[in-house]
Amino acid sequence: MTLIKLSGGRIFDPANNRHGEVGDLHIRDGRIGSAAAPGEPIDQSFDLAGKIVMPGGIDIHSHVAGGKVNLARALMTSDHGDHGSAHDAMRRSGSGYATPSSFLTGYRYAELGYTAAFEPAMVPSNARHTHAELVDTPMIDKGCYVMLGNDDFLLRLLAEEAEQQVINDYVAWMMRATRSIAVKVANPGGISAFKFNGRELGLDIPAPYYGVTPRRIVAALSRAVRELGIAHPLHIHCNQLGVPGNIETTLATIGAAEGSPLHLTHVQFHSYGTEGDRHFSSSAARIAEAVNGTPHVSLDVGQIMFGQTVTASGDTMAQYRNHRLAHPRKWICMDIECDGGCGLVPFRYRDKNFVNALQWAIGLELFLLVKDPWRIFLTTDHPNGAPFGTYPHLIRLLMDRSFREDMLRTIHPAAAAASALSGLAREYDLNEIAIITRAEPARILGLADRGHLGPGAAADITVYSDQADKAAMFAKPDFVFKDGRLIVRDGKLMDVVWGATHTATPEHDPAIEMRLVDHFERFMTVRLGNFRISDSEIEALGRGRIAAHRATGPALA
Amino acid sequence: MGEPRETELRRDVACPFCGLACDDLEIEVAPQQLRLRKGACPISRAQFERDLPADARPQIAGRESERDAAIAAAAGILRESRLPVFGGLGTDIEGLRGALALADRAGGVIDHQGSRGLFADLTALRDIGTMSTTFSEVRNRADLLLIVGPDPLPVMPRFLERCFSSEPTLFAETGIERRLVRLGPDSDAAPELPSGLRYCHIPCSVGELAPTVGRLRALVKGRAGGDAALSELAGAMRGAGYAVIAWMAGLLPPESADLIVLSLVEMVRDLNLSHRAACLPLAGAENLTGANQACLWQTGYPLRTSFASGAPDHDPHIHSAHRLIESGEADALLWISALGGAPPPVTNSDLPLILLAPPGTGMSSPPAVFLPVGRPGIDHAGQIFRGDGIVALPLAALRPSPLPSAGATLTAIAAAMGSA
Repeated sequence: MTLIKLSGGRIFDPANNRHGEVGDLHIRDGRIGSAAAPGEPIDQSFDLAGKIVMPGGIDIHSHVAGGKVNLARALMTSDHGDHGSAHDAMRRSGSGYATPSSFLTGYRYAELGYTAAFEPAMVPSNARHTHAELVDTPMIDKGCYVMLGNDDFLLRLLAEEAEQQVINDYVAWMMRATRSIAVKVANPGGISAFKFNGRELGLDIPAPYYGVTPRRIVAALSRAVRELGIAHPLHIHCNQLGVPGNIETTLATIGAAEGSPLHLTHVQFHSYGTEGDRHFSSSAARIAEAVNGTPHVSLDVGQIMFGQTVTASGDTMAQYRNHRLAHPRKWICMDIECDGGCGLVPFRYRDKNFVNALQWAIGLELFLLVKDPWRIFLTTDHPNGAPFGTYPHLIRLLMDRSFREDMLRTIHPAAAAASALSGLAREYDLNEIAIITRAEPARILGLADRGHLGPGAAADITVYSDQADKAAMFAKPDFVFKDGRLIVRDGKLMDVVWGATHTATPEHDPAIEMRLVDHFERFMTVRLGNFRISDSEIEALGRGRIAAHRATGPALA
Repeated sequence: MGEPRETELRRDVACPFCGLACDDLEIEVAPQQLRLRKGACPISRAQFERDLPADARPQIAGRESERDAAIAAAAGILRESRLPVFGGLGTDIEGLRGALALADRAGGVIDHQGSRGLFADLTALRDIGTMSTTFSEVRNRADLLLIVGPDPLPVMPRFLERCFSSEPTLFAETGIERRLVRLGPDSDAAPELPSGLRYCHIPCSVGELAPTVGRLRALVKGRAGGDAALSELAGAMRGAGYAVIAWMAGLLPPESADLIVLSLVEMVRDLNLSHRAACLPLAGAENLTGANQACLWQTGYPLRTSFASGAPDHDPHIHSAHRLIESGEADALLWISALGGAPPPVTNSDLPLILLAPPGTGMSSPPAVFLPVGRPGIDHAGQIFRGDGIVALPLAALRPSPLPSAGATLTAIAAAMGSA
């Protein structure tokens, strides 16, 4: 038993209604515990007077692992040549900024005060690869969202008008087999449609061959996730990403869920109107209005930041459409195993480009117009909008209006004029930052012992020095603890630890497996028994651990 | 697992011995032998049924030694080395993790014995990207398959059976009307074709491949003229619902492989302006694909990456294991051939060789250190990548084995380097 005392910090723990009050925390064997009994020895003390104390950061949408990330690494060797780091007594070597190698991904998240990140787009057939990368990703907890909704098995079920129960069984089986914690759908039906040479797909257009509409896919999957009791709502990347005018599709998608909870991801890319001379405008206000009035809908922003990155997505239809914008001019699209796809398009977002500048403003408008911080999350859709290394800068944009105004004056003037941003006075406070980067991510994923500092919670803790420059403050935590171990001091790595892989374990009728065996043996090139991942594959090497969560009901009512 | 007392039939066994990684094998496991009952091909039969000694002792300079002493000797060689090369890499993911960790620590260079062809594919990918597909997509969607270059079937015997058969598909109850075209030199053996397949072979010598592919690309883009067979092929490709172009870059002529692959990728992109088409680069023997994937995620770079200057540094020419050995720049060689198909190169006797391979592996002369290891998928469990780059498969331990895995052996060497 070890006892660590953190004294006198200002504690921002929104889940437990602590909004900066001065207090002490005690860590007992990696968890938040009770104060020392009289005479009980304290193994280690940290005087945190004047410091800001928060739970460790949790990133709910970050493309950190799997086939598409590796393809991005192979495509973007320049990203790696410019960002290499050597091994030392503690660390492995690595490279990359937009798509860091697995060890660097863990080290850099920890150095930013993050203790968990979730890979949001795992193609089922790529699950073994994705988990193998995460086994090599140190420091942080992790988990994966399995991508469904373009898989031929589900589309066949829908075309045959299978009962919802069968769909639920399939979704539950798939989550367990791929060791996932949530379900994602990207461009429902559209990735499949692209394989049939479909180049666009609206919400109510029957998809090629199956005749199933995206609306039907959204309804079936969001209902399955709700009825299975999965905490995280269906995580949806809507149809028509990046297309001017896609606001109508995004708003209609909320209705398509027929009242089931829904998480709209990287909404910045789905909030575009067609107004103005350039037929490209911000519809952030309409999204915010819809979300503000719909308590069962949450969103993450997918903020873009100016600079070079590479976009990695399951949405081959959108990536193929956007390949003409590739910078540098190279790109990849891949059809995958009758269950998905992936596309890689390098982008350089430029502040003097009208569209890019307005995208930047639209993201910030969303942050400032959505009223309830418990339903919006800080993401850049790493690396698609920007690499996660830009988070401190993004936090400053949210917390510091004058900084934001300075930036606004540097972007394409027509974009600045077309945006409502200059009129938005709101500044996030530390409590709201703690909600959107800590408390709410844990809650919406059903991680009961993460994202807060109440008794029994895992001691994932970040300590900052309060500074006027919030980017500097969030770039360099004073201390980061992971499960009670000090891993970062003054922004520098102190120790290498291995986090857990979070999974959900919904129940299903075992009979679904008979149908799946038949499907795999007749049509696929992998046997079902080999498709399924075993815990030992993740827990191998003694540095992985599964944290399985029972399905106890949706996080958003 | 326990000692099998009598014969046991294992189903759905995955085979790690070529890039197809078929996982529908049935293998009869008896105490002393493995017999393939279903899903066999010449390669899997030779590998699974190969009669290897069940155990062997490590050797130092040809003399049997204790394992600890051999591990210490290997660590000593790596400690003394200024530029150790980690080659072969015929092993599972755990073995690759061990090799990458050791190379990082020892400041070495990492490369796979079969990576020459891979770099033709990767060069095109890094220059322009690709549009590609995977085996199950080909199996269910492709109506035209063009195979370019020397016949890959001898090294991937079940490719057509697995990916281009006349069985029903997801979208056609009675199977698709399919057409197979091979553009390349004559094959030694007539292909065993799935029934109902239209097949034609357009002969083309290896030396003529690059200009012929260039002409085909022009025809696909709609330019007129030239060879009737090529024109007809170009028309068929433009008319196909889902045309797939496959090649095995390792079989293409080295001097023009980059150009051929680039032309094929461009051709597929041209076709996609109006139709669907995809590339299918074939590769992956000795878990080449897994080696490249693990190197990418752990270092940020493909194979042929050096840790000599600290941060990983990639160069497909400078950091070729073959080149470093030939030029004499390498001063130690750790060679992994746990899958049994990659014998170490014959090198000059000054280059100390640490060999990790199954017992019974043929050697021209005794290596400085020989560390016998088990074969993943036979002696121990593991994971391997299929050649299409997306699917990884679990490998089973088919029988109890006293042989350690390559991964455990490499980890022990790393520990010995640290403790001395």
